[in-house]
Amino acid sequence: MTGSNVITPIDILLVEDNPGDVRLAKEALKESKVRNAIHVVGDGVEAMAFLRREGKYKDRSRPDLILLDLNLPKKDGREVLQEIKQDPELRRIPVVVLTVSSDEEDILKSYNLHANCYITKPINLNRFIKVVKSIENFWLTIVKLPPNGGM
Amino acid sequence: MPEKPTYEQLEKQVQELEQLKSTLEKREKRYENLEETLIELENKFNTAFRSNPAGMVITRLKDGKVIDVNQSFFKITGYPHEESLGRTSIELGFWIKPEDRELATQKMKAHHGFRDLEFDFRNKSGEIRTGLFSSEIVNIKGEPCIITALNDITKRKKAEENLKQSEEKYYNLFNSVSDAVYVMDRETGKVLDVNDTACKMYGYTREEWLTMTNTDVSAEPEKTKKATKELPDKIPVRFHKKKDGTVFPLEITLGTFYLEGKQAIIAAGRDITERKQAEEKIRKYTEELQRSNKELEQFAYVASHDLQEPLRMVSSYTQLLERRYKDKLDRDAMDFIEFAVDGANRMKKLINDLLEYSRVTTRGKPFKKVDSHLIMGRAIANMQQAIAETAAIVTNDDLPSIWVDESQMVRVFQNLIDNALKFRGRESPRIHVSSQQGDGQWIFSIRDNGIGIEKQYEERVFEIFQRLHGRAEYPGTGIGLAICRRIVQRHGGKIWFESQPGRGTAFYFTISKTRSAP
Repeated sequence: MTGSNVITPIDILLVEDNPGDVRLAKEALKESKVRNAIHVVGDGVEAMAFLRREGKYKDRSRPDLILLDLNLPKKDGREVLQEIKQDPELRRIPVVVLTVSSDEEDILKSYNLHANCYITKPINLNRFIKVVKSIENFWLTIVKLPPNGGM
Repeated sequence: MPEKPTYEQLEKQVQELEQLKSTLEKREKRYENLEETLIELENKFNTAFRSNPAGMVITRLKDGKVIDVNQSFFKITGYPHEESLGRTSIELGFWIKPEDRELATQKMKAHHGFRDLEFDFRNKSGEIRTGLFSSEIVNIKGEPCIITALNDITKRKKAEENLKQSEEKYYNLFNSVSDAVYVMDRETGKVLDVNDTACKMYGYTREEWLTMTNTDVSAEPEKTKKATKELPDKIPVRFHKKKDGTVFPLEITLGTFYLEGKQAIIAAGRDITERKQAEEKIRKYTEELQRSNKELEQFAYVASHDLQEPLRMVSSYTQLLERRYKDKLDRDAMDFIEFAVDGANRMKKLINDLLEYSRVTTRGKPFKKVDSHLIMGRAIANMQQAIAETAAIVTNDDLPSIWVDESQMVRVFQNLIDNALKFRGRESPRIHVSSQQGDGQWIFSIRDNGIGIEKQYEERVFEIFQRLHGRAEYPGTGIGLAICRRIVQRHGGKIWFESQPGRGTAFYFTISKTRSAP
């Protein structure tokens, strides 16, 4: 990880209620080349609070990438997606929908709500790790995003 | 010796004679006049007799022999003057019923005549006709005779009979129809007539009906009043009340006609209780079906998300175990992990298949007219890799355009082609798709040269997750044909196969030629 010390770590917000999945994502990101800081929230309400820096998240910085599960307690992932994409402050943050559902309707609905991409979590671990790495690679190193979330 | 009359006496005698002569002359004149009158009368009688449009016959009272008939009598009976004279009505074979003749005789004796009695008689050609007879006794030349006038009323009788029969026919029809029929006054709605069905349907007698108006039997009198005014051709649903208070639905058709110069309404009411109940039942079934579909959809959603989540955990963490601790695990441990992962993979496949199966109905799209070549092309494109790998040759005849859910029909073709490839024989697979016309439907066939299916499995192959072969031999969950059947059934068709084990199988399915719901 040469030179990574000078680069600010990439902030990733993982919105996921299943601890098993959280751990898997963390394990996958551990193997990443990019220095990253992963923040985890367990439901949609927390996710919005985090993004809007409300309450205990006052001092948190805006994430560079959001990994969003669709089925969440309190506030559904679809609602979270909609709120993010309607919020002028937040809508430039890439949102990757990462879910078990391969339902056409979920896919269609997510893109209609301006998800940046939709990925079905593979059941195979190796593939999952590959997917997480690809997400990172694509969104954090390949894609040119507006500086500082465009703000 | 008589004395010589005097002059005066002679004079007187002459005068008397003169008077006598004048009286005689007057009398003679009177006789002459009388005779003239008689001739005139006789002429009149003759004319009346001869040219009467009624048949006239004069018979002698004492022996019943005919002494005169007129031209009309000939026309009516067929007996000319010369054949009738001197014969009796019996000799002419005139009477059909002896009791008729008896009645006539009786009347003659009692009242010296009768008027307008109806008797049947036989004419000369043997035909039975009906006549209206009037007779009277008259003296002709000192001889008591019977003069009879006869009118042929056969035609009128026949017409009357026809009318009566026709009336009867329509009356029976009126009463025997299964609808209640009511005739009402257009202005007041007063019931003028009803049929038996109406009496039975409502429990009112005809007499009771005739005291009522249409609003009396209506459970929606305002609507009935309005309809009486506006006279629609049809009232799809109207609720009426029976005598016992039961309210029931009717479908009523209306028409008008003139009855004795006044406008009348004729209406037919059909009891649609059963139909309404059936409709209600269908409505409930539909509702239930919709609910059950919704539940199935919910179940499917639960299956796709909530069941897969723990499955992923099992699979991913066993794999993580392998990944992290590979060096510390022996061959057995690695095998066990493999089995666990394989189980999870298969479970995931089963869940997805089940989902797809349930979505055939819950996620079906409306039907569109699609060219079968296009459908087949898509299916082949999806199967490109497997076709190339097995060096299969897929051919087809000219195929029709059909009303289908396109992506579902692609799935049917694809699954059947997939089956043919999977269950191929030693030779490289040859698959041929064709269609033929059936009764209002297309019969598609997809024929292969594969291993074939034994007849005893004809039901089982279409059942969900039923497999005829071991997994090691042929992979798959056993969903393909089950999905095909479900899709074909959603399109209102049937699917079956014909097969010769070891030589090949032909799958057939039908698709309606016309557009069917949805």
